[in-house]
Amino acid sequence: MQKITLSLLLFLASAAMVYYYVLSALDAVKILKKENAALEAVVEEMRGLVEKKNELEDLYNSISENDRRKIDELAPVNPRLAEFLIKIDLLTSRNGIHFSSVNFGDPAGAPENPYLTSALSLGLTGTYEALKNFLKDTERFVRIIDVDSIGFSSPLQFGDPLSISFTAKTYQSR
Amino acid sequence: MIFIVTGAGWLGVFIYSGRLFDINDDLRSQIDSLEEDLDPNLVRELVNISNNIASARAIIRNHFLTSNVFEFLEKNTHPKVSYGSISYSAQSRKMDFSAIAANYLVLARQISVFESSPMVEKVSFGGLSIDEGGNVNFRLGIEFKQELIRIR
Repeated sequence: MQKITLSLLLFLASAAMVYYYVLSALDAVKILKKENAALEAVVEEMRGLVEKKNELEDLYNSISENDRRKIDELAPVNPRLAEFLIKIDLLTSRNGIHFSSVNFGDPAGAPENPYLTSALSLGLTGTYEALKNFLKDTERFVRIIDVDSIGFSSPLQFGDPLSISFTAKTYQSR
Repeated sequence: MIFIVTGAGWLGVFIYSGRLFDINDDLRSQIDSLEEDLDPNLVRELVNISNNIASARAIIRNHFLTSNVFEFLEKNTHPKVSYGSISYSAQSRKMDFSAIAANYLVLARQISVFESSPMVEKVSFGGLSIDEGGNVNFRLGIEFKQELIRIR
């Protein structure tokens, strides 16, 4: 009789242990396993980011300070129109060209392009030789200027300056 | 027996959960250490330079040298041909002119020079008329090949 009672008590104690300790511990284990899986995914993603960062850092270190500045100037992050206007003035004046009008368009570009383009329209006067020198200078200029169109007519008298319409585009990094 | 098995089961779960806690702590400390590696200011600067390089590559690939067109004209224009007006469109790589040739023979030679050039895609001309001095006025269109204006 005593054996049966003890067995019954132990069975009840086991059932209570399963209910109060084992099941709640199993729930905690399940939650921990889920959390660890999420943390592992985060660690994996962060490792990828660190790897990418290291690659970019290597690339960054392989470019000299001077070249980094040139890359920035080639297609600056903002239009820097005032500075650009001064450079246009420099480009024209050092080649014997005068500009009578200048217009800048708003930056625009397809979403898939890593850059935006701005239209530049200039009314110029100067000789044919001066125009050619201006074009060559523009092509070598650190801030990229791509010609869209050029138009001029020969002057009425030989040696008179040409009246030139010049449209181009410049670039801006996103 | 059931009590012993239950106790052993609970002990197993307890040990296993302890192991999971250790893994959890380890993962959290790994995340902290990786976060230190990812300095936001440095990452921002690196991303900027990377974007700028991507822009620069794309822009330089499409950068053309328009002055080559004028040099081509100078080298290939007949001495007895002169141009009245010139307009050039980069998109179509086409130059349109109003021009004057000393006579039809000069005009024919000029057209032939342009047509036979490997840098010319297409030549079109029209609007021929003779002025009082016997010169031939004409309109000319030259479509250039991309090689002429491409950066080499």
